[in-house]
Amino acid sequence: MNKSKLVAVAFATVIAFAGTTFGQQATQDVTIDVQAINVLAVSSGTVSLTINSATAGSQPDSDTDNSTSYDVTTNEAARKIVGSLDLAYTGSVSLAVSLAAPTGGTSAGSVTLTTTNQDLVSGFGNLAETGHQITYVASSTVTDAPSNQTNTVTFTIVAV
Amino acid sequence: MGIETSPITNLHVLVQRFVFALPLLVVCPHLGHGQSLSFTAGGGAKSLTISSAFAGNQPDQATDNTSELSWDASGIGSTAKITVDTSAPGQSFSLYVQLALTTGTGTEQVERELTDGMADADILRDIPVGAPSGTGTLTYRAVATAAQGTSADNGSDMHSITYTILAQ
Repeated sequence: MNKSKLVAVAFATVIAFAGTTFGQQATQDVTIDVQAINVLAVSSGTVSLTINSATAGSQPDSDTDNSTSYDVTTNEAARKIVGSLDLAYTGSVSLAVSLAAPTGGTSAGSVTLTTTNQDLVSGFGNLAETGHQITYVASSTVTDAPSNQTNTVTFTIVAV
Repeated sequence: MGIETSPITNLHVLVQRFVFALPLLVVCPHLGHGQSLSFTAGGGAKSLTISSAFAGNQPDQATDNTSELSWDASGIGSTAKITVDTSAPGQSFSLYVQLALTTGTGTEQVERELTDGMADADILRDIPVGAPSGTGTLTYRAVATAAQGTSADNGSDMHSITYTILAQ
């Protein structure tokens, strides 16, 4: 290699190194774990329905309440909401409930509650939504004496 | 390429030796002594778990602020900065980091989102020559939406995060 080539190679080396960034480094590994989340909340823990009227010759009028709603968050797919009573109402008294469906879901419509879980909304997932209406309807017949019954309705998110 | 070992007897050899020595004179200052970047607390692997939410809201974020970086830029010889980047193949969720100064001088930067293959992002700038050392707390924030699913669906995100101190 003659002198001129030697000078060119060395000069190119100077430029390359001068343009290179030298930095001290530190590293850290970070893992993100996202667990299954399924939460549901109702807007009020207490709903009161009163049956106190009838049309002459007919059974007592039912009473309807649509003052409450539910919020739902799930990060899983293919979910449904089931509902049940802790105790059955006595006599002919019954309570039906209807849940408006979140996006992608299907409401089962009005379902008379029992102590066994029943599907109320199905076929939704991976969402966080608020304000879906809950509609309760209380009914009884003339065979029952006046009474005051308080039972608990439980809604649960489960896999379809 | 041969190296001349005979005594310097003419101008050609003198030029050769000068030119070979020049790169070393340029490089050495960049590798300066006293330049360091390390974890002084919480330097091990971190795990952020997202496991709760308020009904109707997106899942709660997870945070970790147990890591502390320590640096000494005295070997750089000019105003310095610290950058961050990550490798996270198959990333499904969001991770952010921010450095808050504990000691020393510099300009804190906004929270940076860490995405796989990202370009280096500054997390501290303007570390002066006159005050080249300091410490700072790293705060990681992990975010996942309901729509993004779970680790059971996608696997956990694994970030290999690199912090670099260098001339600004």
